[in-house]
Amino acid sequence: MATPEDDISRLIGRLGEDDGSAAAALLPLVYGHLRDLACRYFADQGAQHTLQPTALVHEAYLKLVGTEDAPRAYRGREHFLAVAARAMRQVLVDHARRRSAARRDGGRRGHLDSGISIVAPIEAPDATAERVLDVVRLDESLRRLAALDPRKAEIVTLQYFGGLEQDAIADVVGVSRATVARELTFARAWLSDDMRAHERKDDR
Amino acid sequence: MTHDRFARLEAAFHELAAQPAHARNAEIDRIARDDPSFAESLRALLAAHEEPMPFDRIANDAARSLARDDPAGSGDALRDAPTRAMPDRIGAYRLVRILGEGGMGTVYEAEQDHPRRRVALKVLRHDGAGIDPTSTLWRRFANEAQALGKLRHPGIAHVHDAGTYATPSGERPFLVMEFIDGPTLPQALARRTLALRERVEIMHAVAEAVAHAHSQGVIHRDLKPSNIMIDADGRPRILDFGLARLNDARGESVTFRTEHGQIMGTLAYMSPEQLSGATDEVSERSDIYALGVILYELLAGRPPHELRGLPLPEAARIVRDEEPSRLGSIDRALRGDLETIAAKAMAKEPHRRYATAHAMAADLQRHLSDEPIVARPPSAMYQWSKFARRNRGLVAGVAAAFGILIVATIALATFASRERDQRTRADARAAEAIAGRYRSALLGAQTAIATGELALAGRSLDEAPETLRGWEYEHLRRLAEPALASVDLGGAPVALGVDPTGRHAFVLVVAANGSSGAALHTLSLEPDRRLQPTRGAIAIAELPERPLIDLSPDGSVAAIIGDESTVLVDLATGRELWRRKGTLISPQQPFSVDPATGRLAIAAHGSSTALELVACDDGTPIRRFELGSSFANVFIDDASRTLVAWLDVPARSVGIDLDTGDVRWRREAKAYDVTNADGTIFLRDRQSAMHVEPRSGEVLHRNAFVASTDGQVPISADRSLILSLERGERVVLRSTADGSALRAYRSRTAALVTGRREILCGTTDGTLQLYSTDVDSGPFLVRPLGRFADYAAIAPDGSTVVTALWGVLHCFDARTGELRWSRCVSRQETIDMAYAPSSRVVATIDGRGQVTVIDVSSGDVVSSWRDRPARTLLLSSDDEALVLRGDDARSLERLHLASRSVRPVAGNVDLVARAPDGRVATVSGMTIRLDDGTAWDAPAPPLALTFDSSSSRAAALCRDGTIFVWRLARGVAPTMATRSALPGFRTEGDEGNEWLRLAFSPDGMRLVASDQLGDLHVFRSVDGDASLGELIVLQAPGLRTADLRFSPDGSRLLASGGESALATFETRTDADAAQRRRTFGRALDLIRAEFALDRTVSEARDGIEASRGNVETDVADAALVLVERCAEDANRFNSLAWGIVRVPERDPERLARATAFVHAAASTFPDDHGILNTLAAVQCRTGLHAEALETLDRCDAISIAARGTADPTDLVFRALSLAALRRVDEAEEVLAELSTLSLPDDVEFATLRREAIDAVRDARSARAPGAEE
Repeated sequence: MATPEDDISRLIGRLGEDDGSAAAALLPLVYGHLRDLACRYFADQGAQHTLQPTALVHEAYLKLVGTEDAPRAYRGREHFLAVAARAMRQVLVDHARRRSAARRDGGRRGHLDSGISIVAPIEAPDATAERVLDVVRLDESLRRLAALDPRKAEIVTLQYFGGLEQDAIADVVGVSRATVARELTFARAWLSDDMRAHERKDDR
Repeated sequence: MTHDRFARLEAAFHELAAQPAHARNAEIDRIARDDPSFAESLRALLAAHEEPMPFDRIANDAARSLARDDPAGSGDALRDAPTRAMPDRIGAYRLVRILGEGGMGTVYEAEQDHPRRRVALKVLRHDGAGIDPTSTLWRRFANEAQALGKLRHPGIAHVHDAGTYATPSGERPFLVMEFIDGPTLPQALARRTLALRERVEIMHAVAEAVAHAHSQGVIHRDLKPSNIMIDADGRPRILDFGLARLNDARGESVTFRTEHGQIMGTLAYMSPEQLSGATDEVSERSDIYALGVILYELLAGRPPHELRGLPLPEAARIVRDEEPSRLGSIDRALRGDLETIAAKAMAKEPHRRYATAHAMAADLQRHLSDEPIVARPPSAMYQWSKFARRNRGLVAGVAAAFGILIVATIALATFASRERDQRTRADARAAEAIAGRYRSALLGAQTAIATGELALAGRSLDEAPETLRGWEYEHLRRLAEPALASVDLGGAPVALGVDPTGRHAFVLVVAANGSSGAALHTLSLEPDRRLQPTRGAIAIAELPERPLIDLSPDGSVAAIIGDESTVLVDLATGRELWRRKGTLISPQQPFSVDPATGRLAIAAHGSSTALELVACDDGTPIRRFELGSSFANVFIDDASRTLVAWLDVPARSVGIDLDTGDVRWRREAKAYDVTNADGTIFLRDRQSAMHVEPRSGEVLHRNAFVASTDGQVPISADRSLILSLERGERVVLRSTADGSALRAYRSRTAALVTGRREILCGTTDGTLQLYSTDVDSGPFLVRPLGRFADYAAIAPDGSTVVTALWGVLHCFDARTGELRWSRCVSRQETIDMAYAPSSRVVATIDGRGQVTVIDVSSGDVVSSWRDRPARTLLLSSDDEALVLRGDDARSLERLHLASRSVRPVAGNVDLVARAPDGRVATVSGMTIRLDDGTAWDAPAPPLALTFDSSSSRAAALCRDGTIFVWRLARGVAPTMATRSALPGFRTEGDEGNEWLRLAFSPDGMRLVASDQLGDLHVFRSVDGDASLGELIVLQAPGLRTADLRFSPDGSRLLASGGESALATFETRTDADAAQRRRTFGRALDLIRAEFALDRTVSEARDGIEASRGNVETDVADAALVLVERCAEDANRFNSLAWGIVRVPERDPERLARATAFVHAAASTFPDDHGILNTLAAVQCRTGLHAEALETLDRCDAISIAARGTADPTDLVFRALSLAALRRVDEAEEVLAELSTLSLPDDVEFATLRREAIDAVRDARSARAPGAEE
């Protein structure tokens, strides 16, 4: 009896084909698995704190396919990972947005007379709560970058959310490795500058 | 930044980055001379290059956060809030322990560092839509805190400090208050009985404290016994002054986001004006009302009104209209002063209460000192008048401006309202009162649905005024009503089971009186007798803890298996067979028939490592299996003679031959069984789920989805659905293919019906509901597609939805969620998507400017087009696209896809939209322009624009958070029709602004707006209204609403985008609506027949009852309901009007309201004496004396016909009006006649009569001596 894994392997094998139906069929499975994996990996304490979402994307691939592939399926695998990277980014951003939905004004400081003063916002017991919003800012900056130069935004997504090597990125995007490196260098600088500029705006 | 500049920056960056620092700086300085800003940007980029953001860490942290908040990995729409742990410190305060949790937040005991002291720290909750911690609220909070800090009085707990603190779910404000060491008032009363005098003294102290706060301008708004504490010296201290307003962000109506029970706790103390939502009427007197209720309760030992278990609107009505029993009738000791003080404080009309809390305290003091009090008892006349207003004739076919049902009920079917234009402000006020009732009914229902109390939700909806019922009412009805059947069990169901044949359901219901017994009901599941009992309930003494039911395959025996004990019941006789301490295996088919003897046996623990088969009839062991390890989750498949068990050491599932005891197979996955029709066994571990053949252990099928909860995991027979019990008493039905949530029920227990696509749920309010699990029926809060989308669009004809993620498109059937096709059109992010008006093709545009047009039915690419990137795409027909470029020029271009021609249309365009009639609208800044030349300015730049189906109205959501609606007519300038603020709109920054959408319902009566958080606000948009009224907020599952639309028949609201690509908010089906139309139509006919005979209400009721034989039950029921409602509404309006004009009222606003109310009543009962009398009073007070006299003539006619004499109140007002008209002789005659009648002996009538006598006397002396009339 055919298992879902067989189907998935077949689909991934067909990823390079241009009609794209394989990628389309894979997507729902990717999304679900990425979620499950993210949660499962980080639910345990311990050494996993070094694991990154990029590793999850790779794991998702392995989980679905079973083993590393021969070069023939290389093209298909990269496209799959590109799609997964995009899904991962959105999963994380949506979640961060939802959590911070109540947090709008960033905790203003103020001073009143007659004995009551508004205390400055305190470091939350959970230190990463604040930083979770960084991914939202990164996403916003990425969108702004995408409006100016979509390719750079794609490359950054593939690198940081997809965990692809630069060779792989070059293959997906259709440029040379050197170009990918160059694009990344500038994109990182531009994004860092843009994120900081918007952070300053929020604080005001 | 422009594209050009970006490119230049990049080039310069690369050039400079390669150079050493000094050369770099020199170069930048050189550039700065020509273009300083460019140089600045360069500098910033190079600095960022040296110190980039930690992108890896950002993504990592985000993933960890996701994992922590979502350990189940279940991404469905109804997620719970993250669990709260108590932090160690908040600011300068060290938290010691939780003191309590209330509707407003959590209170902690804390220690302050400087000065060192104990304090109470209250963290205020504000969550949910409608309460928005923007800087406006923050400022208000700060002001309130400041005002509270100024209150220093021995009876008030002092507020020391205020601040905010950051939590995972956002910034929360907190208040630091004086710590009071002592019980709350209710606790104190429970501890020991307080003497009457002590209670009065407490109330006196409380009233004085409230008086002090009022004198400082602070109103409490939420006085209740639990807000009063008794300190160590026995002094009462009041808490939480003014806090109720902090939760009221909109300042219009209090949003009840707390649990239903908590609302009810506060309701008892809320004044009628607070309940009607008229917040401009809330004043110090509302606090005084609360004081009255507290006094009543303190003295009588019970509250004045019993509101428990009632739906919100019903409770509100009782408080508004019903008088509580007099204290004296409850306890003789309370007769006299105390009862008068309480009654005066609790008067329905604010101006009839004590003017100040101090006055009330003074009266209490006088009582304590045995001095006579100042207040007077409430008038008997008022009560007498009310009584007379009932039992009057009902006249046919009158449609009034507001509140009258009869004609309006026909409108139910088309969701149209019968309300006319509100011409006068008085009319508008009364309409507002009705609107408030409607909103509160909706909110009550929404809350009840969320907590699983469906019956209560239904009752709440019954209270909704019929004239206002629209789409959102039908939506909530859909959620509150079962598809197939429901039954009231009279107690909460704790366990459910379905017999293996699927013909019966077994429900264990705990007795409501809290005893340890329970009843086991057997209900039929046969289609023609659903949920009807098939035998009497079996009484179970001493129900085991946390029971589960399991049934033997032949249905003869039920095992009730609990944590500590097990009971076996013979279902035929209802007898308990035996009872055993210690738990059995978790019931997963533990029954087996011994082949040798044919006896039914059940698996049980023999010892901790041995399993026994125990005979059901007498409890003796038949066979024993030594397993060598502790075990759980046993089930027996008699057909294959296999016993499957989960062993702990080492952890594995084993299959054991029942006859030989040999181990046949092992698997490292935990066994969870459902008796599948195909006889497979379901095993699950952390990584996978599989179906296994019982005898051989061979894996037959794997599930992609793994349920994340322990315990029973029922799977439907066709293996497509799995039921999981999740946090928060939620039962979720998921697809086994991908785990997507198909629907959720608020329920503690549920069972799938074997062999049918049905599910049984025990709801929290003690009813059992049977639903179909088929996609198209049953309650959906939201039906998500379980997909994820970057972007999504809904077809204009409502038939399909296309979602896109990074160039991969999926097309779904919008009704069933079935996938039609998938296609990959690009490897770039999808920027925008649009359907053609014909719904036949859909087009997408990606980040590189590639436009792809696809045929919706086949999924084939029709044409494809490359250009520079754009940010919006619109199809104006099947082959013409409008593309809004995202570059600096913001130019709009028209592409003809077939010929590939490009034609520029306009420049400087921010937004583009299409009206249904084909006109294209462009927005530049604040100006909206149609391509037929019409142009107008919005008050602020629009962020979203839509048109109604007739293209006669346009709505825009603007940057300042306001929604505007304009009326468009050809050849005439557009006029603004209505406007309204979108609650919680964030005006700073752009976050979420690209996902703002607006949609009109097809009939134009509703306008839905999505906000920056993805919540959907439903507004009433009726021509003639001054403003849009927000009715309800719906929460959509994803945060980003890419497309928002009603289905063309108006029955469904579709929202697409975000995490679950399509959310469908459904209303009742068309078939239901048609049926209701028919029912109401016939009910109306029935009533009209009664009308024609000119009957009174009770006669009409009798007539309808008599016709029951000739009409269907639901028609007769509907007719009765309509008749009652009519009478009720009219009575209510009459009472309200009378309350105003009983006394010499001068305030024109109040008089206008009284006029509106009495007209509303009069239009239903034009010939009711009580109403006409009120009408005359209104006319008299308003100065319309001639009209008053005419009305009084009619009153007299009725009165004399009925009783032979005129009515005393009629005569009083006649005298007043005659005096005002200077017809003094006639007035004096009237007074003379009055004194011949037997008069009501209450103070109020005496006062009115006195007023008349004085007025006539003044009129007589105003005439100059000797002057003629």
